[in-house]
Amino acid sequence: MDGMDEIASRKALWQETAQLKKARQAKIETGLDIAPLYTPDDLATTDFFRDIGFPGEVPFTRGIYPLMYRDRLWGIRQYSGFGTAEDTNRRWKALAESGQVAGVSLANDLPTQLGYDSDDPIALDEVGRVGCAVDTLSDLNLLFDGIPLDKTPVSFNQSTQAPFFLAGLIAVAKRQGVDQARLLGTVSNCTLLEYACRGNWVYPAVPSMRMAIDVASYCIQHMPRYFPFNFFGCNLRSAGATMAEEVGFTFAIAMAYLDEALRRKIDIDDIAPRISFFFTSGIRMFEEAAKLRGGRRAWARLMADHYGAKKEASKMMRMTVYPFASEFSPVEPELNLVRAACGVAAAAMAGAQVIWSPSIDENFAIPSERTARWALRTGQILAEETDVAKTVDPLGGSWFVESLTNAYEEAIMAAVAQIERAGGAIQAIESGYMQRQMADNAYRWERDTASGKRVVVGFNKYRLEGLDEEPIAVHRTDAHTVEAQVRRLRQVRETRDSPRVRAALDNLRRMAEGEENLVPAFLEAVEAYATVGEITSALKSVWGTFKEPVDV
Amino acid sequence: MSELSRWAHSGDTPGGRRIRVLIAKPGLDGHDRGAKVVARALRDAGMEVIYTGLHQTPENVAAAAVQEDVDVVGLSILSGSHLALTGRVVRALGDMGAADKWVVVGGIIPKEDVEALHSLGASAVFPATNTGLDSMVDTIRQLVLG
Repeated sequence: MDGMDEIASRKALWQETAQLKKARQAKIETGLDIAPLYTPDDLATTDFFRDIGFPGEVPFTRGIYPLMYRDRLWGIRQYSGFGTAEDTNRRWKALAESGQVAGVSLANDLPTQLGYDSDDPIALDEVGRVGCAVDTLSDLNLLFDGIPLDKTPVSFNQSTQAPFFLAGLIAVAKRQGVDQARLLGTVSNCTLLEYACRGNWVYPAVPSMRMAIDVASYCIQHMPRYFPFNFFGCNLRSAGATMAEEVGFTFAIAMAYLDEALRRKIDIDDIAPRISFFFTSGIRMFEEAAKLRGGRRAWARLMADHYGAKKEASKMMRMTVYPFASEFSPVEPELNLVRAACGVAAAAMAGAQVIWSPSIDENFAIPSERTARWALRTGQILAEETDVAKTVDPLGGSWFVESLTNAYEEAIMAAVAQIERAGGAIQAIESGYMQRQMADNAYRWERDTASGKRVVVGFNKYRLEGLDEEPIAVHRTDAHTVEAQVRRLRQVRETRDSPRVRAALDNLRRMAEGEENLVPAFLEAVEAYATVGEITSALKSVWGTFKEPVDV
Repeated sequence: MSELSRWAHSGDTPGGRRIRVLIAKPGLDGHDRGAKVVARALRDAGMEVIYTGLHQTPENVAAAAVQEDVDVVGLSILSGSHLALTGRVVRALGDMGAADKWVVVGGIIPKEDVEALHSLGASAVFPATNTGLDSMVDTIRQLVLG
C-alpha cells in the first residue's frame, strides 16, 4: 500500500521520541508481544478482500451474517436447571418473564447425564443437585409444560444422553402437536469433549461416535432446524486450555466427527451447516475478540481447503459464547459483574450468535434467582444500552485487533496441527495427551495466580485486610425433592406397559450391535417410558465403558 | 544429587521413602482440573502421586489406597456431596483395615461443613477458594511426618 514506507519510517521516529524501551511489557497468551502502538503498516501483508472482507461472506472474519445485530440481537439463553422438572420449569418461566426470550438451556444433574436413575444407590446425594433430574419422558413432559416447542429453541448440554434427550424432545413435541421438523435448538453430542474435559462419559469412543453421527444423520433427514452438534470448547478452557488451544483443540475434535460422517457417506455440505460451537470470552476483551475472529476465519478456510466444502453455510463458525468464570474472584464477588460485563462485551464485539453470562457466584454456588437475573441483565444492558451492537464488527479495521486476529488464526491452526501430529483427536484423548497439555497449563495458571503474576483485583492485589473469600454455598438437595423424584420414577415404573419397555430395550440392544441408526430405537424406548438408567445399562451391556487414561 | 539427598529434600517419612498420596475422584463429579493441579504440586514437592480417575465408588477408592499402599487419601469433590462420600470412604478404609491412612478432602466445601468432615474422619479440609497449594503440601507433610 502506498505510504506504508512513510508510516513505517515516521513510526520509527515516534518510537525514538517516545523512548520505547520505557514501555511496560505486555503480551498475549501465546507469548507474542503487544506493541504499545499499532499502525497501518502492521497490516502490510493483510489483503482486505482475502483476509477481512465483508460480514456474511467468506472468510467471515467480520461475522457470519451480513447485518448481524443490526438485523437481530444475539440470543440470551442462560444455562439453568436444578431439582425436579417442575423446579426447573419454574426457573425457566421466571427467566422468560425477565426477558430471556431466546430459548432455554437445560442443566441436568450428574445421575441423569451419566445414565443412572434417581433411585440408583450410586446416585445417592447427587439427585437434582447440579442440575435437573430426568429419569423418564414423564419428567420431560413436566419440564416443557407451558413452553411452546415450535417457538422455543432448546439447548441440551448432553453428549452421552444426546439421543435420549432428542427422542424425548420429539415425544414431548408430539404431545404438543408440534412436528419434529419444526423443532429448534441444539444438543452438544460430543463425547470426545466429555472424555477430554467434562467427565460425563459412559461408553467407549467408537460406539459413542457412531451414536453421535446417528443423531446428526437423523437431524439432517428429519429436523432441518435442529443443530446436532454444539462443540463445547469452553470446557477445554475451564480444564486449563489456552485460548488458542480452546479453539484449535475443539476444531481437531470437530474434524474427528466430520471425518466419521464422511466415512459414513454423509456429504460435507449436509453436515457442516449443522455444526455450532460454544466458546469462552473473558476480561482480556480485545484478545478474546481476536481469538474468535481468527477462529472464524480459520474454520472457513479449513472447511474450504481441507474438506472442499462448497456451501457458504458449511464454512460458518456459528457460536455461543460466555465469559469463563475461572477469571472470577471469590473475594468481593459483586465485582464479578464487572468482569462478566467485559466478557459479554468482548463476545458481542466478536459477533457471537448467542451470549450468556455466568452469575457472580457461579464459582461457589448454584446461582440464586437474583444473581441469575443479574447475569441476564448484564447481557441486556450491553445489548440495549451500550453501542456494541450499533454496527457490524466494530473492531474490524483496528490495526491492533486485526494484528491479534492474524496471530490467533495462526496459533489456532498450530494447535490443530499439534493434535493431528499426536494422531488426531481420538488418539490424543484416549492416550491422555490433550488432557495433559491442559492440566500442565492449569497448574501454571494456579502458580501465576498464587504469585500475583496473574492479577485478580481485590483477591491477590489491593486485597482489603480481613476481607474473606465469599462463603461457598452448595445447593442443598432438599430431601423432599429427592423423595418426589423417586416417587414419580417408581410410579412410572408401576404404571407403564412393562412388556413394551422390555421389547423396546431388547430392540435397542439389538440395534446397538448392528449398524442402523439408533434414534428410532431410542424413540421407541423413550415413548415406552424406559428410564435413562435402563437405556444406559442396555447399551453398556453391548458396548462396555470408556477406559480413562489416568497418567496425569 | 545423590539418592539420599534427593529424598532428604523431599521431606520423606523417617523410614526413608517418599510420601505416597492417592488423589481420588469419588462420586459422579467430572471436574478434575483441581485434582490434576494438586497432583502436580504434590509431585513437585517430591511426593508420589497416584490418580484414580473419575467415577470411583468409595469402595474403589479404599481398595486403590490399600493396593497402592499410600499414606494419604485425597478426595476431590466439587458436586456438593462431600459429606456422604467422605463418610463412606472412611468407613470403607476401616472395613479394609486401612484406618491408619490419612484422609484429606478438597473442593467446593462450605465453611459450615468443615467441622462435620473432621467428625467423619477427615484430617484436613481444603476448600477450593481458600487454600494455597503450598499450604496444602505443608499440611500433608505435617500429617504424615508428625
